[in-house]
Amino acid sequence: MTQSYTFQNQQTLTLADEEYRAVSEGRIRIRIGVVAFLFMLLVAIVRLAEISLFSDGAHQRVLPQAVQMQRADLTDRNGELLATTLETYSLYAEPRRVWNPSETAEVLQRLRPHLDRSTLQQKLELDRSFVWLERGLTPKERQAVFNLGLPGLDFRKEPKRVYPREALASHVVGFTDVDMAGVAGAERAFDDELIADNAPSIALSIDLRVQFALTDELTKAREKFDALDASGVVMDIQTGEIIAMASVPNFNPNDPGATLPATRFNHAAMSTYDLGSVFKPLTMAMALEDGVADQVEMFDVQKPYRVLNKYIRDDHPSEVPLNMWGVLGESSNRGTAMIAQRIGAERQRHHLRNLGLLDRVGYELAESAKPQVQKRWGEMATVTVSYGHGLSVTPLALTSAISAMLNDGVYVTPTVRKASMATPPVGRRVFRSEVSRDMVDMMRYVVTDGTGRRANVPGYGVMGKTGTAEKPSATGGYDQKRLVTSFVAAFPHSNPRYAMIVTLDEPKPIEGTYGYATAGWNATPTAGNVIRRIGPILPGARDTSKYAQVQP
Amino acid sequence: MRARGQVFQGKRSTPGGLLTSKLFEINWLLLTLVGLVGLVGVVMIYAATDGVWQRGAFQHLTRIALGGVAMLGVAMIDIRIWYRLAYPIYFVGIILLFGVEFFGLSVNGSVRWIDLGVFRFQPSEIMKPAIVLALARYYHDLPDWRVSNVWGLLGALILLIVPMGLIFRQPDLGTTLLLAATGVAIVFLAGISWRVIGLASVFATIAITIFYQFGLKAYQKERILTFLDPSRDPAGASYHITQSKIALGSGGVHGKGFMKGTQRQGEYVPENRTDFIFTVIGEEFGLVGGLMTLGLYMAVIGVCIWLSLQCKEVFSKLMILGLTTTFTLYIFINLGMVMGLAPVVGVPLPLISYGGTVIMAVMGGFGLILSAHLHRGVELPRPG
Repeated sequence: MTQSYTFQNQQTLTLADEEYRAVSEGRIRIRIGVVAFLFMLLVAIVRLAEISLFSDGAHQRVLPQAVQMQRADLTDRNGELLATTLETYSLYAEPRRVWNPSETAEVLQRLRPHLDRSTLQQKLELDRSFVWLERGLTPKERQAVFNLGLPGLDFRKEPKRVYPREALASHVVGFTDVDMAGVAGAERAFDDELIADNAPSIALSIDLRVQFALTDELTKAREKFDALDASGVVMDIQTGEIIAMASVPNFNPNDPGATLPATRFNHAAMSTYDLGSVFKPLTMAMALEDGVADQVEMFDVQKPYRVLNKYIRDDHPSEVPLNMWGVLGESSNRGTAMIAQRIGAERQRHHLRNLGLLDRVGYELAESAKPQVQKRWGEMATVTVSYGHGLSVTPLALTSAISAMLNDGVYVTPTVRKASMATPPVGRRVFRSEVSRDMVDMMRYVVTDGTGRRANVPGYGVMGKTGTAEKPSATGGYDQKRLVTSFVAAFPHSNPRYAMIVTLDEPKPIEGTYGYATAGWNATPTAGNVIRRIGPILPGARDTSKYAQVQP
Repeated sequence: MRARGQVFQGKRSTPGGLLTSKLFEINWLLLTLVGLVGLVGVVMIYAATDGVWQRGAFQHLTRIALGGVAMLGVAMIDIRIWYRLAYPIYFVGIILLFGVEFFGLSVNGSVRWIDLGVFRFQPSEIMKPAIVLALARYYHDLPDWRVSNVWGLLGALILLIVPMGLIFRQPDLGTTLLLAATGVAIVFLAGISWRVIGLASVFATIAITIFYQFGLKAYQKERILTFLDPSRDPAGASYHITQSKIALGSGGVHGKGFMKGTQRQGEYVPENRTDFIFTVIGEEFGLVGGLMTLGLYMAVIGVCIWLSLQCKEVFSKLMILGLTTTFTLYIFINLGMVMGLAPVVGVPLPLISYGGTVIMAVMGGFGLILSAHLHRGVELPRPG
């Protein structure tokens, strides 16, 4: 073996000249090849080093939607899912790879009938290498398209925001745009928190069961009384948590564009109204707080009462003088005006500001309208504002103010986030405790003996106040036909815990209301219906006093 | 290169008579290196498929093992038999390519496969070693004076152009160009005169221009254009290149660690267990991993060139160098493609990319190299 190799090597030395030249030429050629090879190797190594060392992730920003792939869930206070992020697939085409655009369009359109065939074909015939065909396919739909086996079609994974409760609580939850950025409601307010790395889900203060009852009753009332819209709020007055907030008509956040823009408007927090007599309890509380009136003094409300050059009108004037309880129970404008004049413009504005009625409600959502406040606040303004005219506020703002009055006189800023034990709400004192206690009794009296009787749900010690306001007419002054009716309520009387409001915009008189469209005939029974349904659900809603079971 | 002559007068030309001693004579260094590259492939496919053993890594391991056995088998067969089989193998390859034309299976819009029921394979992969065998034999048989002669050149050209045409029709631009480059390399190494080389370069330039204008499909043209300017189409044809560069770059010097690549997990780089497997290496093992892989390949190539220098017969030398050229081109075209230096033409990284026929063809090729080296003392007949 070894010998033969040696022999072989010796042979190379004895080659003829010509053959020697051939060999050396061959070796030269191999060397040229090796040099070419080494050159390629060098290029490869330099390039590899260049990419590895100097790309510093700058390319990574080119990635399509690589960053925003996750967004934390939103839940209600009991952990029920309100908004979540699902993986969906978006179908795109690489038109240059599509073999037969018309056939591809035909087959695809048969599977996805809602797509327009000629549009599809146009897209597939484009001289481009990328075109979206349909976004947001479910895994099942993706598989169906995949199974068609059409060349040139492909999918890209895309997260999609999904709202399993659809229209329920849509105004509170809000929605996101195509790029999953929050544009309304909690989605907008908590955007930064939701997109943070490994963000935990956020529990809202909403209770879906209460939200459903409120929405359902508002929907029914809107239909029954043929109102333009209806809105309502249920609040925990001790923590400021908004347990429910609804505005109908509402919308489906899974497809916000499907309904009219008006449906996306949250009337409870975005519409300002002259809410009318629901302001009166506040006026009473101000008078008691300032000590300018007491509960026994009788006011001559049976006689016409003039302020400056205007007579104050009472729809159903009392024939006898009334004390403060009577003024509130009968909802007398004259009596309220007399009390307001004693408070004066200065103190009234001070109290209103403390109650948060001269500024937008400072809760988390961007949906919070600024009240419409008169510039010149003279004596006339003081009088009209005392019974809810000349100051337009949102139903939410008024509910917060009433809550403060009943919550031992302490104002708590509303919130749409579930309150945690760790951070108790901070409030600011608006009224003294004694004033608050008197108002609790006075508002209970309105329901048991006054205009709010249709909301007196047994067992829950309902307190409340009606409010009927005429809308400003286009020609100036007020339009007696177009009303905004409200009922602001709280319960239970023994230990006020919840406050709520129901507001109907332009309800119509119907059969059974004897031609009336005032709050006592529509907003009040609606509020009663809501309390009847949510009372059993809400903790601490039951009245515990010994008078509670007594029927009015 | 034209060396031959009166070697081994009357001596036994086959090393050893016994099978075992023959096995002992095989160049085990090359075998080990090839096996190592294959194992790199197993590990990287395992990573590219998110650690699912059944999605490629296991098949790859099986194929490497089978390929190793086949490689040994091919190596043990006498070089004279391979010399005799050179043309028949070539013709079988041509027939199979015609078979693809008529009974081929379409995958991803190209018809490259033949389905034999039990398994599928790509005749174009078989053609790569086959063309080397045929050309090596052709130049072995050709008298010296005809190498640079018109007729001598024409024969080689016909041998080369028929399979090229058939593969181009599939369409498979990558393999076509690979065959062309291999053929040119063999013709060059066979000792064609520099005058012919100069003339050919001029013609080639003209031919390539015409070919680009009329011979390419729109998507093939698009690939070349986007290669020259990737920004002209960020989400389309250059998507591969951009994404693979991102993946490679994101690995930095040391990489993100085994199974920790994010670009891979996000499936941003398509085909990452086949043609773009190098991006997984780059992302998870960084520059270091990439250079080590490259080093392993260079060792394989170096050993092959060294083996060719020990051979005397024209057939053996040209065969080894031709097969080595193919292997080298595979590597550089793939790396160029992944690193954005060459257009995306669908050439796998040999022994590392997933894909059965390629492994068999490449390892069969190494078997031939080992056989040529093992039987370097054998004299082959030469007419003229």
